[in-house]
Parts: sequence; structure tokens; C-alpha cells
Amino acid sequence: MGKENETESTKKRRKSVTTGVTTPVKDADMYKVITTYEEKEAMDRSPATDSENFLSMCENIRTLMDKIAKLKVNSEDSAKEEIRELQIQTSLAFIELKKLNRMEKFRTKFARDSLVAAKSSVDSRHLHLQNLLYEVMHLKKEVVKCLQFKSKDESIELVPEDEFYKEAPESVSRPEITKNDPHQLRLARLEWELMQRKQLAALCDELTDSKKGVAASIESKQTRLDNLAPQLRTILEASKPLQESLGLPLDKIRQEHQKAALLASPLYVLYAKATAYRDAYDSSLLVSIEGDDDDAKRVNSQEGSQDSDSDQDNQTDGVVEETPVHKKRHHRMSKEARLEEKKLRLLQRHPLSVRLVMVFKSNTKLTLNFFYMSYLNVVTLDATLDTENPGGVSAGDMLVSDSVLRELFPGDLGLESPNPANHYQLCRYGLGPFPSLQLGIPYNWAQRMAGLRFITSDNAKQMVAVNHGLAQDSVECVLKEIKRRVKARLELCSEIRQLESGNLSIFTDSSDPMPCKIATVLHKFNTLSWKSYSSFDNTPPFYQKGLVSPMDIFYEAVLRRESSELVAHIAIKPDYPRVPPIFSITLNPTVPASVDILRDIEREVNVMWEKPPTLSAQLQRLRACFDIYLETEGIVPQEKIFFHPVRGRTRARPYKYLTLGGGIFTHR
Amino acid sequence: MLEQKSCGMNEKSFYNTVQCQTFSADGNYLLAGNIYGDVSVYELSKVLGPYHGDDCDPRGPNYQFTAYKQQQVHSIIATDKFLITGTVGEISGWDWKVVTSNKVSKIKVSWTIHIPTVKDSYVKPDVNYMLISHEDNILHAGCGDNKIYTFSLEDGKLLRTLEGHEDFIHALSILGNQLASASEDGSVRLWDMRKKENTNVVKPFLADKVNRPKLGKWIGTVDFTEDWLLCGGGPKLALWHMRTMEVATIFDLPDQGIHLGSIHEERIIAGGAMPNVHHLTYQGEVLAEVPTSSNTIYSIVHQESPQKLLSMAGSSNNIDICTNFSYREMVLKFA
Repeated sequence: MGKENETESTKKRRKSVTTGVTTPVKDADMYKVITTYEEKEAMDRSPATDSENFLSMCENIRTLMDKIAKLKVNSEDSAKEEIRELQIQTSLAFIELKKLNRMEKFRTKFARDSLVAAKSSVDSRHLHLQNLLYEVMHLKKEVVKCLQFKSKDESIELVPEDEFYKEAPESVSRPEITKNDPHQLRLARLEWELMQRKQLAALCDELTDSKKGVAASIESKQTRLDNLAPQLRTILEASKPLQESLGLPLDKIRQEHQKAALLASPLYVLYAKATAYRDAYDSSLLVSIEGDDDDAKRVNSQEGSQDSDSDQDNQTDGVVEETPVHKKRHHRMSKEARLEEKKLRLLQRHPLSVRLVMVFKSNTKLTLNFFYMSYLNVVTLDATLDTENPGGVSAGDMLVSDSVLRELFPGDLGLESPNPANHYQLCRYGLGPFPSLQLGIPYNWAQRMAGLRFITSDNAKQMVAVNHGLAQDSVECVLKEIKRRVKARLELCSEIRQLESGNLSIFTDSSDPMPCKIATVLHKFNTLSWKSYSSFDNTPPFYQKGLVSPMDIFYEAVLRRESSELVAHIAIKPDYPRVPPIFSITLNPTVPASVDILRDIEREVNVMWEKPPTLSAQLQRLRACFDIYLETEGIVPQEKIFFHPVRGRTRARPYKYLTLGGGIFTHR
Repeated sequence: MLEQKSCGMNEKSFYNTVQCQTFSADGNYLLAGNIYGDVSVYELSKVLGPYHGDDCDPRGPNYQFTAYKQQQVHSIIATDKFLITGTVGEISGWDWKVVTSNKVSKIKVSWTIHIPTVKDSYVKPDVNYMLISHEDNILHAGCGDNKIYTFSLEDGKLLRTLEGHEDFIHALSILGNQLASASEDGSVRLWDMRKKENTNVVKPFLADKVNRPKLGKWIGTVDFTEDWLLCGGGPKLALWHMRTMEVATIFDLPDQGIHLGSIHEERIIAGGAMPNVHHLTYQGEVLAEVPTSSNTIYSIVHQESPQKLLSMAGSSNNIDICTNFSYREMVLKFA
């Protein structure tokens, strides 16, 4: 090996000598070349052999050193040569060693380089690996994502399979494939669904378009209508003078109807009935709605909460009673205030009222205002009668609006509310009887007209109410009745005016014949108050028997024939002339007469009529009776024709008049 | 209309006057007639029985019917077969069985006797008073034409006519063969049924003691026994001696005319235009004063059996009933 090294190294030297010879100029290159060469050499040689060489060299040197040392120690001259030889050998060995060392260094460097290269390659590989791992993970995620992905198609409601096969065309359903392949089936069904949906969408679009078209047309029409409104308004405005001149209350009717919708329901019924009556029968009747629309709207909107409100009241009342004493003062104050408020509310009228105006001849008109008591739930009436001429002193009372409509139907005085609940409601708040509250008069017929029905506690009254109920339900009947009543009153008024002025013309359509030649004259005719009427001696039996009531109108008539005087106290019933007036008579003391004489005359005047008589007719007969009595008694000379002055066990007088001949008087 | 009608009825009954009353032959019924032509029938056993009605509203009749629509029931009397009513110009008989049954409202007159009238006379006479002689079954009727007619109840034939009064007859009274009549002309005539002319005439208005010129001379009632004759009217009620025809007792009553006086067992019952019915002795002592509902009493009837009862009626819708003659037991309502 040593030889080899030697040969090699010689070769090297040679080589280096040759190269050095060929390129002497380039020293630096030489070094480079050598380095490159040595590097190559180092790579070509096996490190293991080099290591052995190194070790053997080292061993060689040691042995040589030993030999030198031994030789030195011997210090022989011969040895000197030998030592020299040995020294050369050792130096060569050292060069050899050096070379080996250098080789090693090269190799180490190379190894290091290669290590670094390997390391970097490992690193890059590692990186690559990591990249790949990451990629794998990502892909896994994606896969999971994909697996988790819910397709829209699952949520699509598909046509059932049977239907699908039935309806879908072959090209879509492809039964030969889809029957066996559920996926294909699904696809096919989805396809079919899609087709259908597309069709439907198209249809929808189409319809939407047409709808849009219609909407557009509506809008255009609406705008046209909107444009029309002002025009119409102007036309209406322009037509007003024409309407007025033609007397067509078209506008008013419209406004009235709008207002009518705001009426309380009973009044609405009344209004509807009244207008129907007006249109059907009597165009002279004026029907209108009074009051403020806005108030009515407000009240109507409040009405809904009313019930719960009252419940609350009850509850709080209960609570107040239970509150401890020391709080009571405070509570009482507020309670009083609240009570006052509730009182006011209880008596509240609905803001809208219905007004009927009936026009009679000679500028007389009767205005009927119907109010609705929102909480008392009754209809009240406020009537005013306007006449042209105020009438005489005694007639005045007769046309007082309240009395005109009194007892329009028997027993209907309007003194009590027909709603039995009201009595308790009013009592609860310590309010007086109904008439004292100034709320108008709650006639029964007004309730019936407005469609309100109540049950009275009095059975007899209830019977009457039932009997008359139908008539009172009909506005026609009631208004006719009112008309009749007012006419009767007006006639009575003029009758009384005539009587007051002493004129005794007979207002009668009675079938009972009337004598003409009467000597007794009406001396005086004047009105009486209930107080003075009831203070007379002869009147108590009448009001005790209920024939006369304080509601009637009272008059006093004084009849005279010569010195004989007859005083009649007359009670005119509210329902005159249907119910005749009741006369109660007295004679002045100079005329002898038993009680029954007066009774007979009264009977004759009050009862013995075929048809209800008029006041004048009664007065006329009274005068005749007085004449007859005086003549049969022989107090005045006989002027009338009668056969017997008295007849029968009752010694009755011939009060009955017959138109026989010139008119004769007979007994009944 | 119903209300008004009843209202009118109220007033009518307020002015009602009951002119005549009678008991049925068996004494079980009281009947009364009024000026409106109605007859009310009261069954006494029921009337006197317990009544739970209102005191203010007296008991009404058990049956009622309208005998004459346009005329008054001037007089009424009963036989055992018929109820007989008298009105203007006629006397009507009504079947008892129907009168006291529920069919009474549809009753039809059984027979009628017309009072003979002079042809030209427009006025028919009214039958003011009727009496029956039960022995010979004849009916005496005192009428408005100043005459007293006697009819046979068998066939309704006019048997006799008693003429002599100068004005209409107010009342009759009978005892045996003697008949007394009181008239508006102021006289009381006594008749013997066997003779044609009247046997005696009394004219109380000629006696100053009994005359009351203010009230007139008419005599409203007459009754007599064998010894005494009771009469009064415009003149005061007085007891006259039959044989001498002199005034024996003058009864001072606060009346405005006597319409009824009757003698019953030594007791004189007097009624008229005064507030009470007076029960008096022959001597004029007052036995009882019974207040009445009527201003004037036109009719008093009484019976002893089967029930002792006295009934007073007049110018009122009420009939006053006494079971013991001295006080008013109850009040009945005519209609």
C-alpha cells in the first residue's frame, strides 16, 4: 500500500511537474488545478484504505522514530548514515501522512457538503411530505363536506311516482331505465319537476303580466275616476242653484244618510222608519238629523269600552267600602267627584238627535226632537209646537208642547221611563224621578218607534202595551195619531177661542142631533188650574173615581138664563176629542135642584152620546139641558116642545132632543 | 179602542141609576134593572158567602143581560116561571132558566105584552111599576099614560084598565082586593078590584102640613094596611088613616122627595132623595138610619125567607144590602 501511495504520489508529482511545466505562467490556476485534482483523488480513494494507510503510516513513523532513537542512543557513526536514511524515510512518511490528512480534510469537507446537500434535500422532501399531508387532509375535509352536502332536490316536493309515470312523457320518464335505477328515477322525476316548474313559472309570469296589465288598467281607470271627482264636484256645485230652484234636496239627502250612519241604533231605526214614511206617504214631513258629527264619532268610538268600564266601577266601589278608616276621607272626596261624573255620564244624551217637523196648515208646525240616552237606553222626546197665533189666554195652556202629546196612546203619560232598569239606575245615584231631570219625555210610543221594547212590572199595563204595541211600532200609525192629535188640539184651540169670545158655533160632526134655539147663554168661559178644579165641592167624586186626572186641562164655563146660573167645571182629556171632556156642574143656590138633577144633566152631557162629542157639542147640550130643566121646573116659561115635564119614577126630564117637526125634547 | 171603551163604560156606570129590584119567586135571587136597559142577577147564597175581593171593588152580579138596548128597565118583577121587566110601551117576560144560566148573554125575550096606545100618540107609555096578585095570577102595571093595566099572566090578555089619574103612575100597592096607586098628579087613589071606579082619593098636597111646594105635588110611593096608608113624594111622607083619610103621622125626614116608603111589620121603611134610608115606627120615632151609596133611593125590596134581606138601590152603580134591617151589611156593584 505504501508503494501504491508512493507510486501515486510520484505520479502526482509528475503530473504536477508536467502541468507545471506546461503552464508555468498560471501559478494560481495551478493551485486550483491541484486542488481540483486532489479533490478528485480524495473522492476516488476509499476512506477505509486511507484510514488503514494512515494507521500503518503512523506505525511506520513510530517504528522509524524508534529506530532513529535507538540509533542515536547508540550513536555509532555508521548509524549516522542510517539515521539519515531513516530521517528521509520518516519525512516521506510525514508527507504521506500530510497527504492523507489533506485527503481526509477534503473528504470531510465533501462529506459535510454532501451532508448539507442531503439534509436540504431531506428538508425539501419533508416539506413536500407535509404539503401532501395537508393536501390529503384538505381533501378529506372536502370529502366530508361533500358527504355532508344536502342537495336541494331533497327538499323539492316531487310528484308521486305513479303520477309521474302517468303524466310524464316517455322521453323524460324512460321507464326501462328508471324502473331499476332509483337515481335515474330521481333524476327523471327532477327533470319532470323542472319541466313542469318551468311551465308553471312561465304561466306565472304570464299571469303576473296580465295582472300587471289589469292593475295598470285599474290604475289608469282610477286616475280617470279621480280626475272625474273634481269635475263631478264642480258639476254638483254648479247644479246646486238648479237643485234649489227645482226643489230637489239631493245633496242634503246624501249628507243626511252619512249622518244617519252615526246615529245611535234606536234612533237610526226611528230615522229609517220616519224617512220611509215620509217618502211613502207624506212629503211634508221633514226628517233631519241634528247634532255634531264629530261628537257622535267620538262617542261612538268610546262606546266599545263602555261595558268594561262599568264593570270596573262596580269593582272599585266594592274596594272603597273595604278600605280602612284613615284612608276614607281621601277616598270619599274622590268618590264624590266620581259619583258626580258618573251622574253626568248617566244622563248623557247621544249627540245626534232625530228631528221630525210636521207642518200643519196656518203656519203651525210641530217639531219632535228624539234623543237617545246612551246609558239609560231610552229614547226621549222634546216636542215644540209653533203656532202662528198664540191664542187666547185659556187656549194657551192647550198648546203647551208637553201637553199636546200627552196620552197619545191610553195611559202613556211619559212620567216614568219605560225602561224599568232606569228606576234603579237613577236611585243609585240619588237622582230624582225621570221628569225632574229635564231629559225630555220618554213616551212609550217613542220607544216602540225606535224599536226598543221593555217589560213593565204592571201586568195590566203590559196587556195594554201588547194591545197597542203593533200600532205603536208603525211610524205611520204614530204620526197619524200625532197629526190627528195636533189637529184636534188646534181645532179645540180655535173652539175655545170662539167660546171665550162667546161665540157658540158648533164644531161637531156628531150624529147626535143638536137643538138650535137655546135661551141659555154662555156667560163666561175661562181656564182653571188643577188646584182650583180640585178645590170645588162637586169635583172630588170625579178624580177619586179616576175619571179626571191632574194631567187634564180644566175650564170653567158659566151659563146663564135670566137670573139662573149654571157653572160647569170641564176637564178636557189629553186624548180629546176621542175621549170626551168631563163636565161637572153646579147650579147657583137660587135654582132648586137635588143632587140627582145635576147628576142627570151631567149624565146627559158626559155619557149619552153615540160618538165622542166635541166640547162645543157638549156645551150646546148642556145649555139645552139647562133650558129644559128650568122650563120643566117652571122657573122660566116653556119655549121648547116636550110632552111631559117629568117621567118615570126617577122623575127624569126630557133632555133627549129629536129633530122631529121643529125639534122636540123627549125622555130617554 | 178597548181601553177607551172601558173608559166610557166607567163613566156610564158612574152615572148609572138602578130603578127597580125584585126577588125571585123562590127568594134565592135578587134582580135589578137600570136606566141603560141592563138587568143584573145576584145569587143570594153566593153573594152572602165569603168574598175575598177588594173592599174598594164591590162584588158584581152573577149574571147580567141587556134587556133593552135603547130603553130603560123601568120596573121588574118575578113569577116562578118568568122574570118580567117593564119598559117604554111594553112588558117582557124572560125565561127563568135562562136568566140564571151562563147562556144569559144570548137570552131572547119569551113573550111581550104591548101597552095599548092611542094611535096618533108619538109617546109610548112607560111601565113604571108592576105588581102581581099571586092568587089569581094577574099583573098590575102602573104606566106613564096615567092608567093602570091589569093583564092575565096566563095569556097576556088585558083584563082591566083603571083610569082616573091625571098624570103618570109612580107606584102601586096591593092588599087583597084593594089596590093603591101613587101618581105624579099628587093623588093617591084606592081601587077595589071588583069595581071599575076608584073607591077613594087622597091628595096630600092639599094638606098644608105635608105639602112642600118647592118639591112639587107628586107622590112617589104608596103602601097600605087595612088601617093605614103610607104615602109621600113631593109632600112629606105621612101615615094616613084609611077610613077617615086624615093625616095621622107626619115623618120629618131630611129628604128632597120621597121615592119609597113601605110598611113592614109595624116598621116603616122610607127612602128617597136623602143620604140615609130611615126605619121608623108609626109614631115617627127613628129606629135606624142606614146610609146608602145612592143620592136617591128608588127601590127597596126585602124578604124574610129563605134569607132575611133588604136591598136598597137608586142613583148609583151600587146596591146596598142589609141582612138585619138596621145596618148596611155589604155593597154590590151593578156592573
